[in-house]
Amino acid sequence: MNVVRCSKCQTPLPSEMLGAQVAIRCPRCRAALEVLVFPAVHREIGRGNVGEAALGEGETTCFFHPEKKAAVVCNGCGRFLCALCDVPVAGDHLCPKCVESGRTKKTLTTFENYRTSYPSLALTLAFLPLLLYPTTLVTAPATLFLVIFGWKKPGSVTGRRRRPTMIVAFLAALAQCLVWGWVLVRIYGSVTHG
Amino acid sequence: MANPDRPYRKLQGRGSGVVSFVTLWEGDTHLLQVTSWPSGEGYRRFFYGDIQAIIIRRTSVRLWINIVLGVLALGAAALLASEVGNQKGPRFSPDGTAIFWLIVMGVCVFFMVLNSLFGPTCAMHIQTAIQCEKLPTVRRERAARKVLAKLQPRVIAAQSAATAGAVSAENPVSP
Repeated sequence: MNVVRCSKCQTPLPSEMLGAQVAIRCPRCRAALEVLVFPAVHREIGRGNVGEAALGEGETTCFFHPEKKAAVVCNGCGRFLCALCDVPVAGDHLCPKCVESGRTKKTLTTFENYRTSYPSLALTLAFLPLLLYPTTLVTAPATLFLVIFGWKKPGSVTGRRRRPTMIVAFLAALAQCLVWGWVLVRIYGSVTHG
Repeated sequence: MANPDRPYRKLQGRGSGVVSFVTLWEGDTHLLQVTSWPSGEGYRRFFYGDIQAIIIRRTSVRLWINIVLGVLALGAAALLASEVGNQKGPRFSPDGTAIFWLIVMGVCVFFMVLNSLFGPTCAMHIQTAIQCEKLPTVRRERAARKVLAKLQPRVIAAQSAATAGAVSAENPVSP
């Protein structure tokens, strides 16, 4: 059984103390704990499967290891894979190349750890520079570009697209651009007419 | 089964940082922790099949908040009392300073009551084989119980399915 530790002092909690969501006290720091244990705590991390050797001539073999027997078919590219090459991802079986391709092309969201949020970026760029308003001469057009560029980009993996946020950022940046346009026209007019 | 356009459902709570905030989302196969910055989002996944234990530890944050607010309220009350004492005449007519201290005292007492009504504070951790991660969105025991009520059946179902799959793999049914 894997060890369950106190979240405050990291002391291993005796297994006899771990029941069905009962309140206990850490034997070392006396913190009041409620621990809910699941069957995975009894699961040991076993050795990886290296695959079986192919025995006969007509036997289907792994695409990457011709000496090993094929166990599954890659759901991405259809290649035969041995147990060593099989990468289970979100219920599918993939080969290492499809995993790498999915990770770099961002088609496999399971591996995606970061995503640029164009709505948040546009909103920040639209309003934060107002604290130093001369900078809006540059940031307002940049916001307009960002909204147009990021309009069709994928939103959050949670499914939120936040189009209203982008519209607000666009309108704010547009207003700033119009104000700067008016200011520049006035300056030009005063310079040319003395 | 979640809507394909909305694969996650938001769980209660929100953890705040200086320029970021954290939210928790319930998916079909895993729990998703999203850290949002002005420039983007970071994702952390806890697959239900990997969760070994969930630990809820009661903390003393609520007590300390009440102590700080109580000290501020007492200080404001003392200053208010000195303002009242300094006033000449039999009838008390509050001036701006006295009203200010009265408001400060009232605000402190209000937040003390609110803090007490929200219930005990806690820290919720998820333990897997390689890590024990704190969920920053869960800070009150009431919220922790709501999150646990949603997670527990999913974790048990995922681990029961995994166990059944392992058993059938070890004991294949012959045709």
